[in-house]
Amino acid sequence: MLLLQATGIDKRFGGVTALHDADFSCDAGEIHALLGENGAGKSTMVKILCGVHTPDAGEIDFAGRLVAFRSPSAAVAMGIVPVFQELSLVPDLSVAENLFMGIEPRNAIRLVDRRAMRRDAEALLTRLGFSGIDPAAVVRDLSLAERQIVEIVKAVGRSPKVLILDEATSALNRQQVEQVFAVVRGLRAAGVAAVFISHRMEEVRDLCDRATIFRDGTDVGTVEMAQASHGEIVRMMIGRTLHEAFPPRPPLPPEAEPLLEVRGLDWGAELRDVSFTLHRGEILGLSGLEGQGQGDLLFALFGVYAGVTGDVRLRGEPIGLSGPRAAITAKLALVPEDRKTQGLILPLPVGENMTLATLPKIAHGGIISPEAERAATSTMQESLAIKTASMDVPVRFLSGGNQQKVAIAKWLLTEADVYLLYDPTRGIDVGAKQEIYALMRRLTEQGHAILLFSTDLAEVVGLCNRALVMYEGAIAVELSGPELTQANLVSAAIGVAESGRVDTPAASA
Amino acid sequence: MSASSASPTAETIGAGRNPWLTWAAQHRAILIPYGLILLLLAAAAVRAPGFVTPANLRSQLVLASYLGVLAAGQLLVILTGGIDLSIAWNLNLSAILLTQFTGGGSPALAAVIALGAASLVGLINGLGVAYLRIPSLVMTLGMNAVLAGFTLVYTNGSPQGSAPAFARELAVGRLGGQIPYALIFWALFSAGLIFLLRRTVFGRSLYAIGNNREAAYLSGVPVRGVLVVAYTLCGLFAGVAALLLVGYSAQSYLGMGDQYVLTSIAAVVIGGASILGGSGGYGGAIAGAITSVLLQNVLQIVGIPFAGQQILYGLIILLMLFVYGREARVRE
Repeated sequence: MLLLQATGIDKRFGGVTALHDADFSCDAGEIHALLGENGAGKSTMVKILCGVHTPDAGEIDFAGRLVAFRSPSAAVAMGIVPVFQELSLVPDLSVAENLFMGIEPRNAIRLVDRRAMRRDAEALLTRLGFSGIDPAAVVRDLSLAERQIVEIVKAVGRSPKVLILDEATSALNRQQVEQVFAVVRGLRAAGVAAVFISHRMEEVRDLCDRATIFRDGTDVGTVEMAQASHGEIVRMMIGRTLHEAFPPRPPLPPEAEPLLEVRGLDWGAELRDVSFTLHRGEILGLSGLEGQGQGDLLFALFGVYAGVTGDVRLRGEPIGLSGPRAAITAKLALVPEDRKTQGLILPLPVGENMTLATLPKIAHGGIISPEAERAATSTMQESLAIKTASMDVPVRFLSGGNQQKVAIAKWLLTEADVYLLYDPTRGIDVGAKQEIYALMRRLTEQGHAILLFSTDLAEVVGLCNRALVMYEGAIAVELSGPELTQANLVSAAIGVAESGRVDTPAASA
Repeated sequence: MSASSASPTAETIGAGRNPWLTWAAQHRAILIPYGLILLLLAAAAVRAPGFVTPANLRSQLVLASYLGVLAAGQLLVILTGGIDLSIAWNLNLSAILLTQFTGGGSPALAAVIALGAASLVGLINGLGVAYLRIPSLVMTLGMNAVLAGFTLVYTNGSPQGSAPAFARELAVGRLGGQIPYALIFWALFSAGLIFLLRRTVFGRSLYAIGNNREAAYLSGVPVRGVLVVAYTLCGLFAGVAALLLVGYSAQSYLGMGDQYVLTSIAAVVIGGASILGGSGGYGGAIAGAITSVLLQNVLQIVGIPFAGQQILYGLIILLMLFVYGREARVRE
């Protein structure tokens, strides 16, 4: 039964056409995927469906009635509830307060009934299979994955008729994704429609009944997932045949020069005696369960944390870990986890974002040379194929993949030797991922080295020469060569975690 | 954190419908204050035709130049996401030092001491905000109280001395009897400041920090150093404004900076800068300073009593915040 239908949708942002004559519809009791490359218009479409954007043309029918949402809350009130990649939780409030924000249970005198709220939150979390999350915990203290789960639980708690998941599982590990999928399947059985956007094709295969493919701002077709082949879908998405998922990986010569040597790195309880060597031309993977110190390791090497001890040498020279500025001088680069809050300054123009880490290089005596800046930014736009109307557009108007390219371009301009990458392809589409993989390969061919933390196991296996599996701030296992497989990464992460729990019963993974 | 509104954007104003409206909306930070200036002048022309004469407009601009210099410092601090409430007594102390030491015999030394003291106050503000992480509101409010007390003790309640001749010439003198030196100075100062904001590493860093301090830090922007420089410059400009005001009134007196905290913030805000930091420019603040001065004087000239002037002045600032605040409706 047709539940939600958008027809002939147009949407422009400034000079950029995001959607043109795009259609989308989904039925009650189905899970419907939206697929497409960066900037194909998927996110714009769902943001129109849930009242975040107002379409310039076209109409939306919901449950047989023509609707026009004046705000996201109007859409939520009608039962269209979105979960976005960018989180909407209030960090200083508890899980329970976030779950019931705006729909708090009231007591006899209309005040918020905190005890009932706590109880209902606990019941909701338990019912959905996330009893591991404490309703009293403050959101700020949760891991990114836990926050994403709370976000999903919050949406489900609003009794949606249409649940929209826009990259809502991007920070979750496999087990957490499975739990979320169980919840979504439960909703489907109850007649709810789910719209699912993910760049992990396996997840789409696993979960969805049908998929509508977007390309260049319009829909190019809808397929039954059971009948469509992977190749067919990818062809529809990119309009061409996709070659090998990962670029060929040349073996690392045994005499490769050590570039970054880390010995006995300690930082409180977060990093414990971390030692490894990264060679020229190498991509070294960091893996393991979520939040085992992989991110902290990258930040510590970049000098962000105070009180880090240990010996870190770059090209044989000790480096001081005194802050990003010193790290940049030493030719380190860090592409951080969250491009929207750490990697980019969203309201500032694309060009200014790109040159932010290289301002001293494009300036003489503190005065920026416009020619040098234009040269730098246009080189990057060309070599990374960044889609933007101009360098003066605020970077937040770019699609996720193009934003990430800008975040990476900033560091390419510093001509760093060692790149610390934190999940650089999270939430971006197949095509952009490919380009970033190829770029990483180019960097290593030029003799640079990459320390890559990725939550995508296929990436670790497909790109890395070796991988370090971390557990509770320490390196637990190193995998390389034929041993470096997804199965081994998973079992190392879990095997280690289980034996770790035996050793330290108080530890919570 | 990064949700502070940036410059007006196509998204918030429905681009692609009417190109004129789009253009107007994108440049509202400039159009609104300059439009307000015309409106005030029109009102004055109707009620008090004597107000809108070249000579009077020239003296209004001269008054605006004093405020404009002060507002420049406030703008630098507001761009970083801070605020400087200490400029009232920083300006006052600087003015008093200038007249006292001029009376002591050396106008040049007096100027160095006055500007040096003002910069030092700014430097301490900057160090407190950047290194001790004291919120700027608290840091500069405390500083203002300290300076007020210090000035009272230092002057024993009655400032001495007189304005140095060069300050009088700069503040009220005219080139060839026609062009006020204050306006020539303000024009050069404005050009320098606009250059500083748009074309220098320091200027870029201010906007980066004001929009997203964490991302700026991770990109190697020396956040603390930039903050210290911004507050120090704010102090220095308060000293320069003191010099101009001493030249204008030929003396220093207690309380001469009191009105300037509000008016400097008003000039910046009317000029379209976000009070949360990260967006705005000096082109707007220039118009903001002129608007602020005209507003006070036009309200007076059209015969509104002092209490009414105050109320209207405050309401207009709130109205401006409301008008600009509407662009913060970025729904994403």
